[in-house]
Amino acid sequence: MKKTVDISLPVGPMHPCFKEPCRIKCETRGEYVLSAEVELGYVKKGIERIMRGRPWQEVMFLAERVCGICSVIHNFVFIEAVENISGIVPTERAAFLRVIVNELDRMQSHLLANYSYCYTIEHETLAMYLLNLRETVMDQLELITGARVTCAYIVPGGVRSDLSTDDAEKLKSALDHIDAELSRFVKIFETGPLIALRSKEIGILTREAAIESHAVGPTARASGIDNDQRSTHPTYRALGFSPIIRQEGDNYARIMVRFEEVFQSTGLIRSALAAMKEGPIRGGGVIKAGSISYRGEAPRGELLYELKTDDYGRILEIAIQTPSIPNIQVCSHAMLIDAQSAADITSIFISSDPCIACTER
Amino acid sequence: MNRYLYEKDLRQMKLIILESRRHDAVVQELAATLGIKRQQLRKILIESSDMMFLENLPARSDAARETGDETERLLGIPLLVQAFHLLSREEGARVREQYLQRIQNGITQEVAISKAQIELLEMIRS
Repeated sequence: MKKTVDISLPVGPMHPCFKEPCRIKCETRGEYVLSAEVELGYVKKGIERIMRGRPWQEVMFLAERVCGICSVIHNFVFIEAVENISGIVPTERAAFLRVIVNELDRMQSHLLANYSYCYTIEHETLAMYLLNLRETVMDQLELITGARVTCAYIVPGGVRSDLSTDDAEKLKSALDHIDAELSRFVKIFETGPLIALRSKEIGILTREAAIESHAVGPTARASGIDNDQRSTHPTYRALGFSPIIRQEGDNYARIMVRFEEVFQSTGLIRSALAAMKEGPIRGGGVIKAGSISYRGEAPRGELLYELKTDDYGRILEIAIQTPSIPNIQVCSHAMLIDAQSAADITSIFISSDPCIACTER
Repeated sequence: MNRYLYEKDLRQMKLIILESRRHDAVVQELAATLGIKRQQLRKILIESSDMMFLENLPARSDAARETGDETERLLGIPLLVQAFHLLSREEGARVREQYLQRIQNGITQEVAISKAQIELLEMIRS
């Protein structure tokens, strides 16, 4: 970064507000932020290179290890990509079970993101309430898949295990609990005057800047962009999905989009449970040679898998574009610029829900 | 202290980012449009952009490809202006106008493109 002033403010790589290491190099005039640059390279995994040449059965497990928070969607997109190459269609019941698990994963990711934001703006009470509620969601994930993270639930042609009637009832009552508790927490967030001071009209991302940087997920949808890969997914379309969009483009809007999406996810899970009929959960199939560029909607936004397979089901080429890449870039080049206070640097950064593990895949 | 002590170390990491599959495809595409080797374009990008910007180049390019008219896309102006931030909008518009002017004056498309490539490179390097 070219120096323009004599005050450089490095934030990180180790910072109490960051879940993962990264350095934000800011140039400031007093408290006013003139420019910012995010520096990576502290936790690079090289997972794309490890995947190359391995059979899909191994890559499937590696894919969900790209990110520990949103592991289900990596499993989801990778398996749907190889299914598309091979012409495999999942069974109807499995397709709904995939949506249920994916939405539970989105709920826990959004609750964790909003916890981080509340913790960053020093509202620890609300942060802990949200983290506690996330445990209820994690319990449901464990109930269905047998694991809290890296579940390996989705396999070509279906899913690993079925949902019994008893477990479905437990899931429904957990959803009722989540809706009731979260309504209370959202009210605290909406009406808190100190929260508003730290969130409203802070870190504004304009629609134009979001389009230019290809911002995705709640970060883009909070700036009025109608971009959600679930809109084109057949199972989500069958459930009547429509994306949640806000126009403000500030920290507040990004957090509120995530809260609203948690309510939307509980609704989608209820709809999936109602629409799901008895039937097989695995269809089977053989992975064939081909190449594809396949997109899915991760909690943080559009996730892209570009891959090439051979006749033996080996992954010859793979490239993963995670949603945190455009979101962190737009955060450092648009949202952080012109921040009036250095104290807002961390809150603006966290409001874009950055995942360094995804970015440094 | 005028500069960060570790600034030079980032060059190697920036190169690793640009060598990955999707980044390499984008760099090759623009290098072909400009008529230069991809190594030359990589050097320009490493000097002008930070790590996060380079990491996001494929997504930015996807967004940029949806903009601009046929002439602009032929000259690679949406990529240079919007995705790579190597030119300003005004500079991009000027190169486009000069290209169209040459075509109107009866110069063949091949010659007009090669002249536009030279102008674009001069602007990028200045």
